[in-house]
Amino acid sequence: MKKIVNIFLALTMICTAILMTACGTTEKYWETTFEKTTQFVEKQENAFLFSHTPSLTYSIGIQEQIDHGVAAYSELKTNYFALLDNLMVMFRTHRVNLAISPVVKDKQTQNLFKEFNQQMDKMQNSINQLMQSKAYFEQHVTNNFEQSASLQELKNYKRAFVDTINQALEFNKTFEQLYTHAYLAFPTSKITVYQTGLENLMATVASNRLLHSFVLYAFDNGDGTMASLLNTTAITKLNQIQSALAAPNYKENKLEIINSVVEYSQLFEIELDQYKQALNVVNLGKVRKDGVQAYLTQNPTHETYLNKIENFNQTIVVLYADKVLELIA
Amino acid sequence: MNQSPLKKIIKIVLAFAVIGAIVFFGIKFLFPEPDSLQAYQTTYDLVTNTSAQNFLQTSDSMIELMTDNLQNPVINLNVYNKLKISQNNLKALVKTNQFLLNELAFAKNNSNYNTNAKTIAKVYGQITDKYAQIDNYIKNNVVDFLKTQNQTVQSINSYSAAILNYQISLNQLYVDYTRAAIKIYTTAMPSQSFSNNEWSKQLVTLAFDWSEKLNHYIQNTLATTELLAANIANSAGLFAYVDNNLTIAKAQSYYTNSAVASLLEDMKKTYYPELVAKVLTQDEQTYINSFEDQTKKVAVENVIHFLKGE
Repeated sequence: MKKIVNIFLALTMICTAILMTACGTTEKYWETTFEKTTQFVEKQENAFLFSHTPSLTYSIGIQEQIDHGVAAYSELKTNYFALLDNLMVMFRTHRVNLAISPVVKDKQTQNLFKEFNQQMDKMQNSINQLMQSKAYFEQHVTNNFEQSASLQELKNYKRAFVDTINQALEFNKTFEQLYTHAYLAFPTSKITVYQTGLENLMATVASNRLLHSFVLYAFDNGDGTMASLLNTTAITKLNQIQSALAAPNYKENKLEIINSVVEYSQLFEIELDQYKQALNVVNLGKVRKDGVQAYLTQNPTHETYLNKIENFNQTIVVLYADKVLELIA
Repeated sequence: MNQSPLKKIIKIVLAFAVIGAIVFFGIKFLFPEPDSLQAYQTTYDLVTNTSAQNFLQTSDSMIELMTDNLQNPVINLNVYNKLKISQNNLKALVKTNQFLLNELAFAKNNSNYNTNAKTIAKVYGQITDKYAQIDNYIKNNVVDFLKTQNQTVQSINSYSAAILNYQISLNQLYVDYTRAAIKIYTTAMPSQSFSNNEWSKQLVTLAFDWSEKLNHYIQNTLATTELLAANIANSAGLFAYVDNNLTIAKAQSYYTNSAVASLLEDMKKTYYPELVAKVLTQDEQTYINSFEDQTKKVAVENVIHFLKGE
């Protein structure tokens, strides 16, 4: 009998210990993460992304090529840096919220914080590597900017830039998941009660989705560098959203517009998923190199997928961006 | 040596389990589930089938030849009218599948998909068998006939009747095919996207109901020459409707054109098979007048205007 009582007591203690570990943690993991973000933002080598006016400047000769609009070089500013900079908007705008206790404190929230901490480390590594590549590039390209050796160095540097952009995409996605889950669950069904900040959150998330599609398309050319951005209308729309986010103009009929954006966001998610599938099927690098007709002659069944990519870039992106602009512009 | 009853039972159960597993995996191996691209691949083959293009061209040539001889009292008007309707309907069904193709590329495996992907694969097999016969017939008979100078009306009637017979079979097969493809389009896709939405589903359903009604006249040996003549314009109307409306741009207009939303509401109040039948028999005004409810009357009227491209 005594044995049974002892075993029972031991089991009870083990269960209590497990429960306490699971529920009773006193660690404020969000504060740890917030401190980590502060250090991350304040690091000298990250200043080009988190200073008051983010920018990346180069040694004199290269900077002149950029400022004089020499296409291969000015792309570093207008496309590569612009994409990276835009990918950081959500983090820059909303990271301060991590200082306060999350609204949802479940296991998933904890995991998302943990995952985001890891992503921050990876992002830091990626930035460090980018800075090393930049230093190497600046060291080896000091004159003869149009010569093939210089252009090859430029290409190598652009590849490093692409790695950082792809890492930023992951970083951004993780932050978005964390923020939308832990602080203000991103609406997926009809909203009946207005919450302050909902418009900004939705517009920022939408902007992220658009950026995601831009990055998927821009680098899908097989050689690791940027091939082309989406059409100018799409880029203009994205810029309009970014500007409106800086000085939003809120509407009276908030719930009505918010709910229509919720609907559009769900539709956009499905289209984005099909767009990714289409990009996986079509060899865009080959399309760009050989031309659409020649490509389709060799791959006739890819026409539907090419149409999907085209329609997404020309129409879907604009439809979604216009709806989001109704919310804040 | 005697075995214990328990051991015997275990052995029997094990034997059944092994047999069951062999049968199960055998069936899986012999009859695999279709993959998520099969419906797309099959429909791609259908809409790009060169025999189909060749057959449509031959049918056009035959219709042209009959039209040139319409004043001749010997010309078989029943064949002529039916041939025109079936040709328009076949073209409309091909176009409908061209539209579905855009979405079938992104279909998801589910029970509806598996059943209907198998159906379209089976029907497509029958379609290709039919085209093999048709190719043979056209090559051995019609090509030379069309090159002949001054064909007799009797021979025109005879070759047209043969082409019509193929049209009748193909119309039925394409209707069966399209029914299954639409089932995938409406049940095995993401619930809604910008290009596959309530509006596009209504557009496709309406076109298919119209095709089915026309197919009924094509298959029906009792359809009168007058009834068929009256429906030539309607079959041309169907093709124009499909050509104008079954496009990605039209599907997406649901989100940009405010008039579409009210038309969609009108379409929901309409029972297509009945409506299409009335339009086909050019009896739509009596049909419109039959409604006492003013809202429904206006809704039906609007849908009829839309069907007729007015």
